[in-house]
Amino acid sequence: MKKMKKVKKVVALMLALVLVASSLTGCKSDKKTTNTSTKQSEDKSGDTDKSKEPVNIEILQYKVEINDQLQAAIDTYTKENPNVKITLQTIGGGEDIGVTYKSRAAAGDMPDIFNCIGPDECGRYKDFLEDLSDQPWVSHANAGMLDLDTIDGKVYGLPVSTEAFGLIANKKMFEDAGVDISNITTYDQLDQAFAALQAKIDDGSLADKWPMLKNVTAVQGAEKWVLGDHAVNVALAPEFKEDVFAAYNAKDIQFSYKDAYKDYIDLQLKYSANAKDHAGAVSVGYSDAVQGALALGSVAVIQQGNWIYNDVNTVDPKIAENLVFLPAPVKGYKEDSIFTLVANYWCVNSQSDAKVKQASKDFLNWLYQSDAGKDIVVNKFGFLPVFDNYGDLAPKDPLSKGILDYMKAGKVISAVFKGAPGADWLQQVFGSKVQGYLTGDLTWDQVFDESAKEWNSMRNK
Amino acid sequence: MRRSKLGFWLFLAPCLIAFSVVELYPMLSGFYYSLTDWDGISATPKFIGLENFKNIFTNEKMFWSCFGFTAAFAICSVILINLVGFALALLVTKKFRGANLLRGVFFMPNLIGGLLLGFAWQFIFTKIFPATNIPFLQNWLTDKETGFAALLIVMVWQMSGYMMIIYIAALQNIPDNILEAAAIDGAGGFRRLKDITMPMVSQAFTIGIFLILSNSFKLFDQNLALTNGDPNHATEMLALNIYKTAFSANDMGMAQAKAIIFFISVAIISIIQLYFSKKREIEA
Amino acid sequence: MCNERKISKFFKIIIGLFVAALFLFPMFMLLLASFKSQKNIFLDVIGWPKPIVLTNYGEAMKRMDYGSALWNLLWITIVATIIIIIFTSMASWVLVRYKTRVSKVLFYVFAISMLIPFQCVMLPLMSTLSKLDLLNPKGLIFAYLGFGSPLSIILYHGFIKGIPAELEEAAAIDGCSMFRTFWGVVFPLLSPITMTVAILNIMWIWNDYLLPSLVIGSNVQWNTLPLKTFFFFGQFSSRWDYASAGLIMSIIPIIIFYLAAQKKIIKGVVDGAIK
Repeated sequence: MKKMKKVKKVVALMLALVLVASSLTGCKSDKKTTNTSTKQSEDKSGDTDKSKEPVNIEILQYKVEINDQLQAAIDTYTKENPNVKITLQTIGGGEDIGVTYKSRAAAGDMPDIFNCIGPDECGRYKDFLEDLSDQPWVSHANAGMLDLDTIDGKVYGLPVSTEAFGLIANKKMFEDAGVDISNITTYDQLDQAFAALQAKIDDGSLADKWPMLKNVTAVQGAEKWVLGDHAVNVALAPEFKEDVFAAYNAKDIQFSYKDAYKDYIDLQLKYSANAKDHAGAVSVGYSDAVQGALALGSVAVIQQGNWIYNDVNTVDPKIAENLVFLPAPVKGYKEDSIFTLVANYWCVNSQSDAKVKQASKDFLNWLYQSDAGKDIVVNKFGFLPVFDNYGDLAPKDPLSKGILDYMKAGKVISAVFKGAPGADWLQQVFGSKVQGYLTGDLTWDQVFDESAKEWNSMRNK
Repeated sequence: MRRSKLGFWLFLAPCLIAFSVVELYPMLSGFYYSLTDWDGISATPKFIGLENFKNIFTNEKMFWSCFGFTAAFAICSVILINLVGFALALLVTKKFRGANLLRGVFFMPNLIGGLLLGFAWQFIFTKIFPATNIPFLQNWLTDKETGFAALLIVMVWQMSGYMMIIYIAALQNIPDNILEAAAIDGAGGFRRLKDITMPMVSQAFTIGIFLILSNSFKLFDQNLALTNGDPNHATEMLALNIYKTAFSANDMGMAQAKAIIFFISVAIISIIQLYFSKKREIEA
Repeated sequence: MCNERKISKFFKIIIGLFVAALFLFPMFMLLLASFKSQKNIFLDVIGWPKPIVLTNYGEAMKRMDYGSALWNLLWITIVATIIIIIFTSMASWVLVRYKTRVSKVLFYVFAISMLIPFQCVMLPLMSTLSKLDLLNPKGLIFAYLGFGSPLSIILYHGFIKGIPAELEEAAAIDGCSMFRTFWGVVFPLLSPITMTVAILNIMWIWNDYLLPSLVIGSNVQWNTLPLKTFFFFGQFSSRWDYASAGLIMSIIPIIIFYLAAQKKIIKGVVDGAIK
């Protein structure tokens, strides 16, 4: 009797559990089955080739800015290749993509196509990197474009695009002030141009045309990647002779160009709203400087890269058309150049099924090498080509054009920050310490000495 | 049916299984990882014994300054939130028109998630405050002290409505006739509050202090969204420091070791707090 | 005397309104921003929108895929809450009624786990869930049961302690199984605290970002509102115009829920905290 009851109880509970569980799975598998069934019917109607088995690819990336365009590209591709289904997952702001990748890696469930750049990251994700050396695009890559993701002669990543950063200026403001900035090649010329513009602002003669204009520059002290990842190249690139791997292999850093960094930041601070009290710069973020200050016409120059074009454009298209690159001067090295970098790399998960890997490679190859793909990459994403077979294709925005001009003139410096001991050193150590300088808690010497010490201890772990 | 062992485990099973899988087991494996140099990705972490703990006590000055910042923050928010919550409760339990509406308004910040809340307040501190051109309202997120204050404001804004609700219930449990009798005996408003009202809600104070204490120590979302620890780690709290160690420095082993120190300290503090609160309750 | 009262009442209302204004100010700014153009937001952040832009909502709705994101979130929140209620109430009941050392220890294990920060269990959690093939909505709900258990069990535990056991014993003598005793006799008595547990869990799950972002993984068709809202915060830039409209739209359902349940919420939170 007692036993019967127990059995009953067990059965009742199990039933409840099963009910709940099945309602869950039921709902989920519903969606999946509908998806596959539609796909199968497409298969039957369109493609009779039996060798083309259905493949599912997952892309996990972080550039929200190209999400819609990438999705459109995927739709185009999957229409041509109905056996391929591609899921695009884009991780928005607020969260670091690294956290997502790491948690997916911990789960042993890395996406089929993901982003991974530089020796540091590649070393960490080496178990997931597929050798792409045999891909057709490899031979077409422009010089140096594959280096960051090349280990022991093997290519592991397809470069997403070339980008550049430096000092970006609204040239119309300088024109209106009667200051010529078309031939600036030295730090001092830059300083004089800024001073001349600031003088015009202060005496009120620009108030008619640029009523909001108050300062020449704005320093984005809230963005540790602006101070760390990007600006730090002013000190690192000359020390390591523009060689990422020299930086990557360096146990110590001398900061022999620390004065160049200091002068570079001080130049921007000198003509900013925070010239007297630097602390205020710490609350100036990317959108304050780009969409707030530059796009509204309240400053003329900020340190940024070509990616800001769209953001300025959504606020004020006229100002966006007037943006030009000024050199980011590295005193004692090259004062007439801008910094170039590879935005990121597309990598293929080596642990995916063979046919998924092949399909992923095919898709990337289509995206960067087919005519339709090239058009999307250049005209929809707005990316600068990194391959030599793009013909005349080039983005139309003034900043991208500017980069091409600097490249043609050979006035570029290769950024080396990917050779530093990880994002942790760039942002949590160096970027943070520069913030400490801005708030007055640290001197420049402390910034460099302590950062060098950290570099050494991170490398010798 | 009485006390069948099978029934006990059967009723407990779903919760226990889920809890063990998502919390207990990961926590216990965290203990193991704290003794390794795991980077969070590698499949074969190296066992390094108590190296991580040794490092925390000898080299990690930043961890301890975050610890101090967090502890100071917890103390201030416990005091402030409970005070404000109690005051709001006193206010809305007075009978006047709109009291119910006010309750709703004060409770509303609880309905918004921490990250969104942090972004919304960042917007206020960095855009709206400066736009007023009042010197006092400039540069709130640019140093340790005002950053601390900003975090505190956000926390008070969010949590005092919650505390208010708890205190309202306690206040409503006080029989009206006691207060009236005291008033007739000539006790002034402040004395009635101090000698009658406060002792009678002391149990609610115990709960309030525990909730705020553990919440402030664990605070992460608001910290990340509002200041992200800037400038130069001055406003970095413990949970964020652990997070950065794990995901930015790729030192999962160290992060787990920090988490264990953090967990043990909060547990000790909570137990001490409960001990003293209970003692006070009995005396009162 | 009478006048004095009136004056003090007047002051209370003034203070109340003032504090209320402080509390509502951030929401109000967000609401204003949602009717501004991106340029207007940067140009004049505190002022009235000019021109008033009504398209932000439509655009945000489209970009967030609002309907399906809302539906996903509703579905996950409701199912998870129901499951939490069913299983934690059952667990708490036996933990209270079986006065053994095991139940005592288990209860303390649940309670103390509330002090563990989520970030510390994240990576091991991911590998465990993956091994169990639970990186999907089903796993998300399973994880919510696990993470929701401690608080809910503490709440139920405290409440059940206050209920006399005689009724249950009578039911048992009448031959009811343990299962029927619980659902027929005990559970209906728990309804006040069930309300509390429901509300606290709904509020938490509705706003949760990190757990779904990790556990939903590649099942993008299951993206919830908080995940979609973050689409407006890009690698570099933020679309504050769409983001503010998106934020308002993800708060609205929970405000409607709140208004509908205001009395019960207030009562619910109180029961939860005091017991």
